Amino acid sequence: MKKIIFLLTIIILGMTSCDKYLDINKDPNSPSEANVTPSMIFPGTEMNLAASYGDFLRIVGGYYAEQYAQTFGTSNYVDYSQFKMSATRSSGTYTQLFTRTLKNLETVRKQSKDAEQWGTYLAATTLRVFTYQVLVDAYGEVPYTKALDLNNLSPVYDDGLTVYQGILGELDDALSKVSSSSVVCTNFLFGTTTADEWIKFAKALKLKLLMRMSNVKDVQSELSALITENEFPTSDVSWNDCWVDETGKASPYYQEEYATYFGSTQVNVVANIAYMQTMLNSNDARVPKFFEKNGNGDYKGGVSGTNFSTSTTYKSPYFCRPVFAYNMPVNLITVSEIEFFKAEYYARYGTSAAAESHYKAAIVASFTSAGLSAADATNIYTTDYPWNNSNYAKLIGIQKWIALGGTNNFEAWCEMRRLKYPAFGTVTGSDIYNVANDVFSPELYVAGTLYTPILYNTELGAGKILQRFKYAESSTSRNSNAPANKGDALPVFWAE
Amino acid sequence: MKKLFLLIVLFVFISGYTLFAQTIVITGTVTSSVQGEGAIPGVTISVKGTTLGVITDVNGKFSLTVPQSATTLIFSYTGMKKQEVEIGGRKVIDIVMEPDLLGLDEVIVTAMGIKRSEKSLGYAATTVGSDEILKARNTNVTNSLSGKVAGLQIQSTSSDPGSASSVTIRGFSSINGSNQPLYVVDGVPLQNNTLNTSGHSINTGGISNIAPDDIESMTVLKGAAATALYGSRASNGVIVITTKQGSKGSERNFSIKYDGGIQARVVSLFPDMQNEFGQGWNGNQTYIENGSWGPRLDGSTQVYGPIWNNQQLMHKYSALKNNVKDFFDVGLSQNHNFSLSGVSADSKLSYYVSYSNSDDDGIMPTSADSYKRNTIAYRSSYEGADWFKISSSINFARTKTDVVGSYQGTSVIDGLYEMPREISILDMRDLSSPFNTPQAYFTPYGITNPYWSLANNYNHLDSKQIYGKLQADIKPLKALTLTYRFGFDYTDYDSKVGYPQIRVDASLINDDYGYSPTNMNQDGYVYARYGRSYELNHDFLANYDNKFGDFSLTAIAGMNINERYSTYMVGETDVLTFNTGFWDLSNGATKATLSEIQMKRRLIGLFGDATLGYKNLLFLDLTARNDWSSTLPVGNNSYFYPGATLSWIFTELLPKNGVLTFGKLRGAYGKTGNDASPYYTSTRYQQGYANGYYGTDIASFPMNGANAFISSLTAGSTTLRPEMTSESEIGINLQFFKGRIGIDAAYYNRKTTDQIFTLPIDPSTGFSSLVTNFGSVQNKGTELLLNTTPVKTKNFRWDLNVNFALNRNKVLSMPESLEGGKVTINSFAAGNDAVYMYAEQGKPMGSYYTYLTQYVTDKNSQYYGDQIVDEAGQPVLGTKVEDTGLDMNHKWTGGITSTLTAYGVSLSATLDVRYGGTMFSRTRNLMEFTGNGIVTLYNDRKPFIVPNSVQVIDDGNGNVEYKENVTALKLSDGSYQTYFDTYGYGNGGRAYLVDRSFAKLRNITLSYSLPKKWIKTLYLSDISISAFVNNAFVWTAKDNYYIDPESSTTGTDLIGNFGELYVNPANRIFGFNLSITY
Repeated sequence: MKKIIFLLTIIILGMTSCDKYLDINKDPNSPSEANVTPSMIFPGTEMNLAASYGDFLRIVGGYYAEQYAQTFGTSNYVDYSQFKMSATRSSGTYTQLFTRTLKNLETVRKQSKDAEQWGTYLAATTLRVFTYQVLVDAYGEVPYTKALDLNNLSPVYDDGLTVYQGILGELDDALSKVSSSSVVCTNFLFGTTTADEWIKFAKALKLKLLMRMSNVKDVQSELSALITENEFPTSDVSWNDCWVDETGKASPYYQEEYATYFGSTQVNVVANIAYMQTMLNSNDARVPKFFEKNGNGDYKGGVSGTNFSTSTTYKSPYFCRPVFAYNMPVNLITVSEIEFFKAEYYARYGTSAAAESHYKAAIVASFTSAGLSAADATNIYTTDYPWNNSNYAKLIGIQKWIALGGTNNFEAWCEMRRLKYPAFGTVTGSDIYNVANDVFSPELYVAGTLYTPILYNTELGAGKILQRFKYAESSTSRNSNAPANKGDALPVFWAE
Repeated sequence: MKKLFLLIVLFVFISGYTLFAQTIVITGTVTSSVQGEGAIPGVTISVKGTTLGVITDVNGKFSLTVPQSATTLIFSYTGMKKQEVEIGGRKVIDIVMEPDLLGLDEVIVTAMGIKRSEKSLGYAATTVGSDEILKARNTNVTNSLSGKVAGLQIQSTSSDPGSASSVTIRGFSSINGSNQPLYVVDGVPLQNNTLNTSGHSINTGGISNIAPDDIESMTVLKGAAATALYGSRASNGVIVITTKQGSKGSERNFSIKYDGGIQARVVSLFPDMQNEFGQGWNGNQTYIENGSWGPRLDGSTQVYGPIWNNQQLMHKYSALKNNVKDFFDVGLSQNHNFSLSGVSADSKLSYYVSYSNSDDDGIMPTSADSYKRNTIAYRSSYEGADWFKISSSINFARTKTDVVGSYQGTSVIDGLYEMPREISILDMRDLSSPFNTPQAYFTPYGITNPYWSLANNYNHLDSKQIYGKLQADIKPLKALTLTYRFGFDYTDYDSKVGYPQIRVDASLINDDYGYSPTNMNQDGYVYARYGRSYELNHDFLANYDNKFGDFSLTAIAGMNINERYSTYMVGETDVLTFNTGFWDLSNGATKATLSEIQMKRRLIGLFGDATLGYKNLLFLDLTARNDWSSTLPVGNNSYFYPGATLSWIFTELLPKNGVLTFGKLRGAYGKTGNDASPYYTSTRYQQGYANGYYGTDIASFPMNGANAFISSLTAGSTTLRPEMTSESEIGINLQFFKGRIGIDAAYYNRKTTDQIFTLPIDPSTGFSSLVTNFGSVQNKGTELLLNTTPVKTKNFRWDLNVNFALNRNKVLSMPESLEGGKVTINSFAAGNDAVYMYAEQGKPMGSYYTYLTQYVTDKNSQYYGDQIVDEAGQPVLGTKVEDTGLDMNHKWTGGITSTLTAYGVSLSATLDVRYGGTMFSRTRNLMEFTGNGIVTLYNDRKPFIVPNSVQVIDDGNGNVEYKENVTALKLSDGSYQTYFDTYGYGNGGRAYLVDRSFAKLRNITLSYSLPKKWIKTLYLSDISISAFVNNAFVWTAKDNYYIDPESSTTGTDLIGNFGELYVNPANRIFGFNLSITY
């Protein structure tokens, strides 16, 4: 009895400190928001961008650009080879880029702005601008002006031009605040502590943005100023020295398609006949750098729109896989791309001679990045694809397509939508490979052209490149302001 | 253990020691008041205040020697009202016993261990007694309630040993939170923890660890009014478990009981497969395909599989009809339970101690699917004085569970279901042959030999639980009882999962037919999770009970303090050094991750309850409770909820008659609040990671010498409010013909508002989901319980009980931000196939959406209603997931229990019927994908044109016309097969959905109690034997020739209703049981 009264007394006394007793709802497994610094966040945002841009977007880009085809028997990406993208398929990347990339970059931007750490601010802004450009290039329209705000659960979608102009302004603002000695927080991209290389990257990114929009908006003077200033990176901007041959630590594309980490060693991606044959026809020395030999020691590319599942001859060792290793870089922008942009600029606004020199420099840069010598590139720009200013779009289009096919397939898909080259020929995928009879006629393919896949996206139609992703299901099913999907054939703003 | 035995011996010794000086002999006859029944054998007659007792013989006669000091005899018999009779110097006492009106005078244990007579209750409460619970000998006692309680839905996630069951009362209310009831054992809440592993839900502790033999009764409290007093966790109903307490034996002041049996499990239900076509793809024979899309089976001799080391397998190209079935064996299980129960000579001390052992083995060969459980239970109470009583209970349980995983790839079931119809499974038992391992297995397409899977995949759980209570009751005044009760429940577990490393040596393969066996390579993986959890519970109760003339008052005031904590640590490693069998974290070459989770929550509740009774006519009960929860924002963490019930026994006002012997009208209204999960009030940061497309955690920190934290995808809320459930209920209880017919009917309307939601939001907000209060869900329904005894004579009795429940579930409101007001509960996506299960405004919870085939909707077209196909003649599927009009909810559920009793033999059967509703079935899809399913014989696999189909002619200017489709689908160009595997047999995504209706004969039991006089010669008081079949028959819907619709691989609760992916097949169990009481 006494004990119970004693206990009751304790409890009643305890009630006064009830709030304290109940104040335990702080997650012990999470650091508090106040203690998290930009150096802790930044590498996490980088790897999320790398995992989307360097993996999923690279894979789909390769299929849409007819650089990749689906190998015998497997069907993981056969719909991409038919130029399809579904709302569910496009959701994961959309979610990853907005939440784990952009949201955390916002935190870094806010903290660095408050602390006036303009080097970190520029780095975070540059990756944000890069990410937003990718989103527009893939989806056409995305939430921008009302995005990343929990008080607005249904942000409107902004048109692509609005986003482009907005992020250009952000980039200019961040560049105006920074100096090359400004300190940058921990990052994997450059590893340096100063903003020097970030400034160059930001300017290269600005070049890419302006060139993309140059067909629909007069940005010649901005381009002129930027190119005259010429403060661009002198080596490829890429995550290239941070990879380890382990699960969760190797280059993302390698993990997805090559490593045995996740149990599956299934082969999906192989060379496309369009890309492979175009290179073989010009004796391009990059072929063995970009592709493995097949089982017979040959270089063979498959056909879009099929997985050869009924074939008795064209089975898995027949077509060539892209060369890839755990430490292959995730390229954000390469010197070759920068030189191609310059070549295009001079072709359109300057002299043919200047254009030609940058055209050569772009091809050479691609060769050297691939581990070849400058001399290996000579035949490409002298005999096979010599410069001709009146035909600049086709030449740059095809050579950019080839250069990016081994380094950044997503950008290849973007540039061929903008430059309209390579273009469709008259031969179709069904001509090249007859599924019913298992007859393969690679000799019908004409180098430097595209062809309609065997089975193709009927919403898009024959003889067309897929122009955009379907809006992500993770957005459209949750956001009452999400617009209805535009047609698969409708270009994003800069490719109109 | 030694100590326990000593204790038992001591008790036996003490209680057996009795001595009396002077005695008298009393004789008499006991008869029944029911016409035609006459004398009653087996009535227990005991002397009040002593341990003396005797039972009546076959003629209802007894003879009992009593001490002269004895004053009163107690007559008791199941089904009859207990009587106390003054001896008053008589030597002959004949009495007439009245039948007990089917439990009306039964005492029901309600909130906080408070006892109430059932007739005073204003809400629905159904009690299931020990005999019913034990019939089917289910290792997991919750399964014994299946089909017995109206409105209670038990879903056993699988037939595999150790599987967890999901329990819901009156439908699903909470979209995000738990819908499982609260389990209360002898007044103490019990954790009910499950672990989801490899497509299985298994128990780490809780209700599944109670030996069914230790349970006296289980009472299901359904309404919010009934549950308000238990606090937050009771908003989904309460299952009150009363365990067996120490009691006298029939002739001694103790009894010893053995109860045990053996069971045999056999496979009962798996997909119907075709036996016409063999290995191949698109109509062609292939040697390495994992399906039966090849040529017609012709009995010829054929080679198959790769050429390995210049050898190749040969077989007869003819169907093996029982191939899948042949794989399974008979799983032998056994269970044993010993108990000792008694009271001390002075009746002050009671004790009950038991040991139980269950050892279940499933239908897979070997014991890779098994469950072993040992429990020890001890409880005692000591009444030190009239005003003081102390009671305690302590229970230990230890389980070992081995699981055969359900997943795509190298699981047993995928290996079985993707096997061509003519390849012999029984020839694959010899694992020393490379053809029976991934090295040279006939297919390298992801699956492998089921025997090899069984031998090389590992999934084991060890779990220990200790729980119990300490309770003190004191009575300072006659009408006042003060109680303090301390309850505890502690569980810890070790879970290990291992996948073997596969490294195929391709140099030995002479011909792989185009798809390299090295595609089977996998790195191997070890996963270890060690966890523990506890729950501490304090109750302080003051109970006042008094009568004032015609009025009675029972009032309770109390306080509850509860703390729950759980933690676990996970370690993972891969690229194994030892390919298989060494499941230790040191066995990995590259990856070693460690992660940990801790969660703690506290709750304080103050509550009161008053029942006012007028005569035996009217009872009014008022309850109120206020909770303070740690999981809600500080300063805003208090919430109040009241309840009221009224019970009117109107037959008290009617003249006594033989027809309507009892009638009660009842009404109730109650509210229950529910708090959030811990840590929903803030946004968390987690260690950096990123996902690829298929691979998750494709980047995981630390990496490159740096660590990183990123914001979680879920945004917390600082303005969270409790979720509130309110429920009103009316009901009626009627008893006719002295209990021969009893009716209990109820109508309820329950609404759960302010749901605590992790609402999926557009990721462009920076988060994928947001914790918020939103939405409301309604469950309305009717329950009917009918208890009848159609036949009752002296030696024969037939009891027939029927229950029926109808629940209508509707999502009343959803956040406006969601397009169409819907939120995903669960989904499945593979390639371009997708099935979603939503909670959508205006619809029943759990509506299924998928890509659907399209039809001509232009009413003016001559082709109106025809199916639209493309140029290739294949169905055109919509570009967006569309409403199928189907949802997961059963339209109605019901159960019938029938028991025939004659001369000590009893035959009973329980039928469980659930009608309507839809579920996802990957097995169905797999049968179509592989060409193994019976439906793939459509048109005998000859070319066909999709019936009533048209193609679209679009002139490009928005003018659409149709033309009749004449393009045939045929095996030769792959289109016939594509029709099945890509277009779901022409059904689009609906090909994943099956009707989940079923009728199950849950149990048939034949039992026999040996006549008392035989037993007496053995110095025993009872022997009974029984034989039973569980899941004797299952009837499924017409279009479900695939799976047991009760199966789930998506966990328990709401999400568990989604369906199954690669579920193991269902079982039938044959058993035999023996029970001996000394």
